[in-house]
Amino acid sequence: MGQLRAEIGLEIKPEFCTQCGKCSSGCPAARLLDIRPRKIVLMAYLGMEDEVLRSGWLWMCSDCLACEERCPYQVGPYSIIMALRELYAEKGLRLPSYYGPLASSLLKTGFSQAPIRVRTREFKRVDRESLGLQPPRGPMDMKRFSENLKAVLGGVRA
Amino acid sequence: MRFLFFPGCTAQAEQYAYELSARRVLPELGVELVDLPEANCCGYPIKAVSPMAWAYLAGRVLAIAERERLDLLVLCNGCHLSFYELKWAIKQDRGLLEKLNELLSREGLELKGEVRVLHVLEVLHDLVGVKAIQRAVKKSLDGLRLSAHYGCHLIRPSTLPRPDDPEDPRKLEELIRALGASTLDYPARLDCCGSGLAAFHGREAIKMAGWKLSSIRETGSDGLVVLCPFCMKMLDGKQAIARRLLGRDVEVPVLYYTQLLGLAMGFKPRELGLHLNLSPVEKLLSGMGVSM
Repeated sequence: MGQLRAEIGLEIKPEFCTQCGKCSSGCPAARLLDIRPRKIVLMAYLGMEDEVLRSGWLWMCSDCLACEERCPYQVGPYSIIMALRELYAEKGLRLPSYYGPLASSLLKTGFSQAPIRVRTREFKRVDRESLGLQPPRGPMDMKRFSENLKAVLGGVRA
Repeated sequence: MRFLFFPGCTAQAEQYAYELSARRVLPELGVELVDLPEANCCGYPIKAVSPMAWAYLAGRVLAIAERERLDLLVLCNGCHLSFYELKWAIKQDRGLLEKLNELLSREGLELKGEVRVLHVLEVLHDLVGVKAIQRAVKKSLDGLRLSAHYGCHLIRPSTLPRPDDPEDPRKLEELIRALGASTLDYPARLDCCGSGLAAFHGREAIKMAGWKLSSIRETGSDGLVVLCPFCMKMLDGKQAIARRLLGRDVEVPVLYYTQLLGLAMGFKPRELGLHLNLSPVEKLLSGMGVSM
């Protein structure tokens, strides 16, 4: 457990893992490729974080929390995957392309995305206004909000 | 009952049917919705790679609610978990609370972590109650057989307070039956919609949605009822692609519980945004004798 540590909101105990596999039997991503939460837990325990970070497995997790819920020893397989994602960002490794636009939208509007036009079943384009919905209200003092957010963004770049 | 209404980014930026139907039905049941004077993302999407940014974003919304002296009503499972997790984290780690308040004080805000956060499922089931909902039914859904999808973040992890049981949730089914319909169990009932994977591996995420939908189809269900805008995006919006990727039938009418409730209360489908659902909801409507 060299580089891995529990950050806020996470409790992880890879040393409690008995490799029972309950986490992996309920994992929806395990059906997609050769990733198993139990393997990630073991590798984290053995100090093989760099191998996990390089493998791409971290970004196959669908965030469903089934492994975390079903682990009989509260090892926290999901929390370990999330702690590894954080380590990945801290090391300045290239984050999935999702995060750049996310960070810039957060900094610009306060929200993860701006309202879009959607299509109806009849292939008509509609938006909040045409549906009679008010525009979302973001932070009143946008400048101060952005400064605060920027100060805590860490390795994520807009 | 009065609540600050927090639709969350996905409902407010593209899943308009959820906000439309919630605004339509909740006030009829005595739930007054007050718009937040200002808000921001709950922070969940950035949490894994930047926990401090998440804590600031989630904490800021809670601090605004505290200033307004009202509890929060949220539509999205992700927002709900995000706020509960932050409330837990600042109790565990007073240092984190101090750090957040240092940031928030620059905006004239203060966080204590005392505001209550309720998902629309909790408001309807625990506060409005099944009996009052039964009384509000003008058009019974008698004869419809429906399936429930709670969504992962609403029921897990049980180490935090969640609205229903992690392995055997019941509340959504009870709410569906309150409208006169019956409910069907299915093997993939607690499985993921795939949404958490959509940002990184779109095709694989849609396959997950497809597995779930085909499990529902096999039961002969008349429709799937959901509670989260992310789940809706996958299960309602991606059926055509899921069908192509899996090479099997996945078509099932999918709608929000607030839409189903509104139909039973006698609202017109368009008033509830049903023309924005992309799955074959006409099938469900014709089963009720209603046209779009």
